Amino acid sequence: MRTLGRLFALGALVSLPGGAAAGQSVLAAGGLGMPIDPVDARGRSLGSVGVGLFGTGLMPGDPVGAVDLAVPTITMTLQSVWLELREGTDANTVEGNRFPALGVSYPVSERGVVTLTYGGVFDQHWTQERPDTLHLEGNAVLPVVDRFTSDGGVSAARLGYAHRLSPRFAVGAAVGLFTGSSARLFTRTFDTLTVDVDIAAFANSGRWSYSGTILTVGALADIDDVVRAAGSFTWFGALEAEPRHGTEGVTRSYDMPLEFRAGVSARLATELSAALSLAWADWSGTGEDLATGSAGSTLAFGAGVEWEGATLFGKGLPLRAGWRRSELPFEVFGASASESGPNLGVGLLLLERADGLPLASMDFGAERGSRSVGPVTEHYWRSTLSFRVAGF
Amino acid sequence: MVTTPITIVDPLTFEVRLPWSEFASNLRIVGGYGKPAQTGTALLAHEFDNGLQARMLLRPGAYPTSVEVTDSLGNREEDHNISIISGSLWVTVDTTGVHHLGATDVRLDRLLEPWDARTATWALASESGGVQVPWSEPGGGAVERLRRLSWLPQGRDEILIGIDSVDVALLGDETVSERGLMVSIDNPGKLLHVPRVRMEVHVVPSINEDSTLVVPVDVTDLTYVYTPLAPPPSDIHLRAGGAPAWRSLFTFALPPSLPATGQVCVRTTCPVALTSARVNHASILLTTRPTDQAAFAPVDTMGVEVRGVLAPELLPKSPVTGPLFVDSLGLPSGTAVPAEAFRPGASRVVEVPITPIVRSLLAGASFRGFRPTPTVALMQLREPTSFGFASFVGPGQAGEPVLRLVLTISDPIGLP
Repeated sequence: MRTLGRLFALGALVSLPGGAAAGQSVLAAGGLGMPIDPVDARGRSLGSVGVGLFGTGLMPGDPVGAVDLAVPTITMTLQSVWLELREGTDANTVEGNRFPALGVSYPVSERGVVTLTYGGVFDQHWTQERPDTLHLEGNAVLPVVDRFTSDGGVSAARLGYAHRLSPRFAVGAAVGLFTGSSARLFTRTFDTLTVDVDIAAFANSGRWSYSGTILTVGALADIDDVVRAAGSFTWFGALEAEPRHGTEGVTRSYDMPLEFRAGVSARLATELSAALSLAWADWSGTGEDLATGSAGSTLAFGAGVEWEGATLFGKGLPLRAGWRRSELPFEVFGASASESGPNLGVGLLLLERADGLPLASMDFGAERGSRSVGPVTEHYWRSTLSFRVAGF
Repeated sequence: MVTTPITIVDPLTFEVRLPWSEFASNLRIVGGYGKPAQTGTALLAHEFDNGLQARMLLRPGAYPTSVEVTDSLGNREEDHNISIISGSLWVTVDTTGVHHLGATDVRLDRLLEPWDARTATWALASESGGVQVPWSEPGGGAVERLRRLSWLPQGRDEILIGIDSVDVALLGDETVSERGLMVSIDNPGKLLHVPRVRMEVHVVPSINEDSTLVVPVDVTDLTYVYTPLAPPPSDIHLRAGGAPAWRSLFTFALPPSLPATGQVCVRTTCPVALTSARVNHASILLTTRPTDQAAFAPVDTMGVEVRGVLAPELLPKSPVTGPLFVDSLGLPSGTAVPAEAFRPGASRVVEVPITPIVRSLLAGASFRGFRPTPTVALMQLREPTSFGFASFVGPGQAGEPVLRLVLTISDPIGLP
């Protein structure tokens, strides 16, 4: 039996402008790719799926989290992954980087903030290799290596507006467009050391660009700075994949799910809070549009705690811990997969306004988890680093 | 079976071999490319095989005008007052190609008629601008006998021919256009291949007159004249190489589709459309055959290649494309065929790759800046480099040229 672990040689990762780059998992080969959660380092540390955290945030999937950003703000999140693929005794280790999200906000009134975010939606970067042998006339055995490379992914740019209706209640909405492109290349190279002549590689490739619309609405409620509850609905229009550069075939259209996210945070003590969140989406419609494989509904949930009592050189040093579990939408090798694992994180509040609004901060989160699909098990370390600069 | 992206593409590589009549036509064997002087080698023969006569002509370069010597005090000095008292000619013989062992009578003559190494032939002393100047008698014209010696090949691959002071002086006069030496052999049935010739003069300096110094002199002109020329192929076969060189010219007529059976036809429509993208490898399989005349049999490995003919309407003067393949040094790379393959009973099939030509013909695109032409030439690498030429079985005979194609088909690349 051919070992799947060896089939997938995951190469160096490349950041794309859209952020939907840097695949590092066998799972990226399933369906439309590996979903990229629009969650920053603080959210990662708390096991969050992206909404309902205390404070302010500027992430693609949360249109209302920026409502209290009273000064212009820029955020950026970077991610690194170290992954070990294992199947039986075969193992392969890879690492790579992502650029999951970039956000800009600008307060347009005392209660309203405009946001612009750009982030990855699906990661489609992966490589599959398969050694094989051929028998041609006159050549007993001709070794070949088949290599299938997918590069690129789906990203989304969103323009949003968040408005605080009252001290306890805020709403937000964002509209966006799918962007990005992917390229797929199959090559068969011949090991001509065993024959007298060179045999040129066979190549077959395709390239597609993505488009589509996105609408997200959300709301949050605060109860005396003790409890925050938030939720969002995201409606994805059909994801269109248009062939480019002479690629054969017609434009493909993928039905996309309605996605629901909800989260709640509660203050347990003056400097201690807890967060709980979940996300749900039904990808079965997308699965019906796939030529191969299928998809189903996914549930992601997580919880965490944050302690804000620590300081470093007089600066706030919040410490975080959490746990999260996510189901992945697309089947790979005929099986569905999920990932889960604990998270740890720390923040550093470099500068803040008198009212406590962060003007410069950085957050770091580390996750250790695993996921299995068919005979392959992946163990990963994922680090997420977020920066925020505001008030300029 | 587990479905993976590669299994969805499902590539299939297979091989097809086409007989000559299904891929080529209009075979022509054309000779006359290059001159023996370009080989940098020489040939000596006397009534060999079919009566082959071959003589080596050479002309030395400028003699030294000074030498560096050590005086009685041990100091190194440049001495411009020197005397050239004699010379030596060293003729290296390829002993692996020596036919008929035994003593060979070697003759050294001084040429007495003006000659041009680049254009000299058995009949002509020179040819320039359409003006042909024949030798007064074929084979080098009138000569003055200088030396005659007997050479035995055992244990030695160099023939040493001494030149006395008078003859050395005459040879050194660069104002004389008939300046030159001719080396020949007198034994009927002999053939010697000469890969290298070198000359040296013996110099007595004015400082330290007791010593004689041996100073090498460049052989600036080296060629050979021979008769008769190799006749055109007596039957239909391919020929490449020689000096002047032969080329086998033919025209590709690639079919739009290829016959296939079995698994290939399960995967795609048969016959299979022949496209550039599907061709991984294309080559011509040639079967070697003994050279018609032993005199023209290769004595060393022959490199052969195929190049595109850029202007078939100008043949035989048409330029050809650059080499299809080059080695790590950027030099043309072809198929090496050992000399043994052209001996009776030693025929073998050799493969000459032509993938770029077939791909460009199928794509209709330019190749190395030129539009592809279906006319190609089978020729020797870096022609002319050898007197002997390669012979291959021609169309319509057992072992005729075959086009070998390795192709890969796959399903289109798509999104999941």
